[in-house]
Amino acid sequence: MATQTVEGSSRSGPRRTVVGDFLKQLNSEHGKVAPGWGTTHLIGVAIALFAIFLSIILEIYNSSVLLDGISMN
Amino acid sequence: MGLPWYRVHTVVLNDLGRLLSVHIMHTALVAGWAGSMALYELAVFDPSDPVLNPMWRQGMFVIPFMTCLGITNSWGSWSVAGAHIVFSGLCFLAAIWHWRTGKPSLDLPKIFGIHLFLLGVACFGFGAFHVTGLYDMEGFDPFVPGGIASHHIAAGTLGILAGLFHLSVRPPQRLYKGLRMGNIETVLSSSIVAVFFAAFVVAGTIYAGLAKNQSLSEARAGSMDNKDGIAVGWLGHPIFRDKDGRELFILSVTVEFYGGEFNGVSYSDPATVKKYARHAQLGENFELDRATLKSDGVFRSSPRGWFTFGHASFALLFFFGHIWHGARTLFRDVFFDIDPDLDAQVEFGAFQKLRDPTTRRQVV
Repeated sequence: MATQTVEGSSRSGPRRTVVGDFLKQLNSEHGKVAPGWGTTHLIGVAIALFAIFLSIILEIYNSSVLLDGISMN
Repeated sequence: MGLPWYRVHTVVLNDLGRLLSVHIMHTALVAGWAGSMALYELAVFDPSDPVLNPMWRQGMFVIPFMTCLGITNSWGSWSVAGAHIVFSGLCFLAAIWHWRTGKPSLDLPKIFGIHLFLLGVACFGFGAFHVTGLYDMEGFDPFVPGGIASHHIAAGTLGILAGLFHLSVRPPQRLYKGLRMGNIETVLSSSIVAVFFAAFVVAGTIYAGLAKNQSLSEARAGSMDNKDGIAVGWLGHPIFRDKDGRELFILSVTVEFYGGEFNGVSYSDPATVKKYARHAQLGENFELDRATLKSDGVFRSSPRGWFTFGHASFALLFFFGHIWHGARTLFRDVFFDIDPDLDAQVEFGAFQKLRDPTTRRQVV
């Protein structure tokens, strides 16, 4: 079953509103990328550091890493 | 003609307004459940005896979580329940508002940056309010290093900084293509990761009793065979006799109660003594009201048991879901077999433009 849509009015483009114009600035860069690998190395370093941080706090909490002045009881 | 039942949700895949709408509707259902469950539990909860009739014996599920978060009195609970119902209603209306069609393109990396920044602010605020006491609860020490408030302040700070980073730097082209950042299904796949990860963590911590000072002995896994061993034979009825051939408990053993309702009472008739000896072997004796709830003696699992089982099951399912949607995202050219014009045939609603009767569909 195919449906055919009927346009009620002819218009030149989507409806513009004050809020829409403000929000358009936030949705105007679709598909924009940095060339090549960009900041990939930076994020890789950040991910590695975060993983080390999480391992440290886990092992402190697990008492696998013992620090002076921190007791887990 | 139409879609098979297991593909019907694809009608919102390429229609981001409606995709958003169905997600908001889901949120409305979730919040509505929370509020309704809280209302029901508050209506049937009996707080008069927290020692012998605690909330977990009454099957309360959300009330313990509210208590954990600082809601300890009646007005707080009713307010939380009402707030969830109101929020659910607002989400319902928002879902209807967003039920509009069209094919906008969304700047997903920008959306990610905005959301991460806002969540960072909210997370930080949550932690800061607990430290300052603006939104406080008794007995909550915010200066514990692994504690809730300090975690949220740290994580919130990280979220704000990371959000600002993602708002100011565009993704590299290699990663944009590799992770399919233009396709909304990549967002779905990575979101599923967060859900199943959280479900596994939470099932494990509740199971092991780490979350809120629970006792480990309440949650040991395994069958009754793990407790007693595997029965391989029946030893027969034991009859205890003394050296003169008289059966034990007949003349010389009495039972006397210390503390509790039977304090000071003693029995010497053998049938009663034997009965309380048997009961004592199984554990402490209680007087039980079996009439009010028509208790049937059938074993039931505790809320904690159901929580662990449910979350572990859903975590496993969501793990499979992540693999599925991740594969669909990465291998879209292999999976894609749905005619992109099909949605013109299965559009819902009487008018193509919301509330505009001049755009009524004509069946050709």
